[in-house]
Amino acid sequence: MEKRIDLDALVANKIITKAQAEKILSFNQSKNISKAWKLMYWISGLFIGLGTILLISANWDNIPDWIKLVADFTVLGAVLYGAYWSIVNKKDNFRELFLTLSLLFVGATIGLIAQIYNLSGGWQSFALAWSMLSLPLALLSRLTIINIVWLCLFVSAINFGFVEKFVRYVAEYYGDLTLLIMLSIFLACLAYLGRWIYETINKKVVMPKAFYLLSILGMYWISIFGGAAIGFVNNWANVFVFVFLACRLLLAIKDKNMQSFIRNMHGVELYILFLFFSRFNNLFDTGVGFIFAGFLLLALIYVFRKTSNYIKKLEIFNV
Amino acid sequence: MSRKLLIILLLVPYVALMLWVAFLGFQDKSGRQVVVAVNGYDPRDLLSGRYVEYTIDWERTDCSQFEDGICPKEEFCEESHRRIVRTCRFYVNEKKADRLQKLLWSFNQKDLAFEVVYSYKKGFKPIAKQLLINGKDWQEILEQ
Repeated sequence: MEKRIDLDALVANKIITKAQAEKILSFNQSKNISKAWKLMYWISGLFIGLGTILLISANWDNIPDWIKLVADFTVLGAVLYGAYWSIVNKKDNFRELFLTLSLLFVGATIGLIAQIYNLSGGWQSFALAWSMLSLPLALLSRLTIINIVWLCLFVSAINFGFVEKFVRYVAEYYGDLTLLIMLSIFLACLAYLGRWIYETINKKVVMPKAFYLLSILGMYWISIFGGAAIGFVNNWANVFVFVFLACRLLLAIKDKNMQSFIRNMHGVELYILFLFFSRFNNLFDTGVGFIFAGFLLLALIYVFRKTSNYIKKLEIFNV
Repeated sequence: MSRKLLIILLLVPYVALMLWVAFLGFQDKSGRQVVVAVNGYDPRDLLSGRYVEYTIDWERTDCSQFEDGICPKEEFCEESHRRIVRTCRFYVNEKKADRLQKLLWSFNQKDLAFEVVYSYKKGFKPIAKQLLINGKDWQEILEQ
């Protein structure tokens, strides 16, 4: 866990010099911006990969099956080679982009095979095959979020009927007390998680800050959940959510707050996943939109890195 | 990590998927065609696209197509989650799915018989190849 250090206090107590404090601050910013780049590449990959899954789902029955398979395996081979190239050449940002694309293209390929051969297995068989085949890709990734996605995929493949059976079995054969202890341990783990979240947020909570946080949360709640609710029927609501998140990202850059930038990037990726799982009736158009957005984001990253003096100033450490 | 291990890790999904396609392709080509009557249609949409979900009506199926004249009921379809029935899927283009859905819902009034052509090889999972409505391809009926 990253501990927050009050650099001003360290300088005031003459533990470090002002120049050292500035170097520490720059190093920290550099580290955060490196993480932010990785996230942006991951989001581009998420857009392009999910877009491809949607395009395949649209089911182009006028194209011969063998052409679809050859095209799919060519693209899958290309992104796997991209992952190999980026790992061998230590291109960390591209590594996450290609691993994300590879992971999603494995899912797209399974979807295509299921479609061509009319396989009858449900989501659980699909998710199990996907998670097993993409396990090496998740292990090679250095991004926690990719591993979280993989874990969610794997968990969704598990038949939870056995958990229910397990709880009943424990209660019946080992008694309610054992079940209670087990549940308490589980809740203790959740409490530990809660504490960790609490510690990552600043402990010095004062009323104005609480009010500020509550307002921000309210704003997020209304914008994202409201957008998601209306987004089912009106696409402009989704545009509104992306504009809102883009404004938050710009504000985070303006305030030089990379932590906020990273948090908002996570908001973007969660909303992309919501869009993906809610687009049932317009697979083709949403797929094209996703792929376009992914390439647009990659172009923006390129332009931003080449032109922004602020970013260049921050990227002084190789972290 | 050594390059060899990296190449192996990255090739695992690719080779596994290739082998799967090769296996299904072999099964598809080597099996003989059988036609089974189906009912209980219910088009749904999920990650791999829109599909028609059906159960096989063995009462209306000609079992003489199979060896010894016995219908291999357990070899077709998958047992659906928390359900006793075995359901199958037939994937369709998203633009045509709504029209097919309407047709499926009105099959009683319009006196339509639905069948699926399978590639069948004993000991392998049969592969659904074509959806027929009154003996014709479903797309032909949809265009009428």
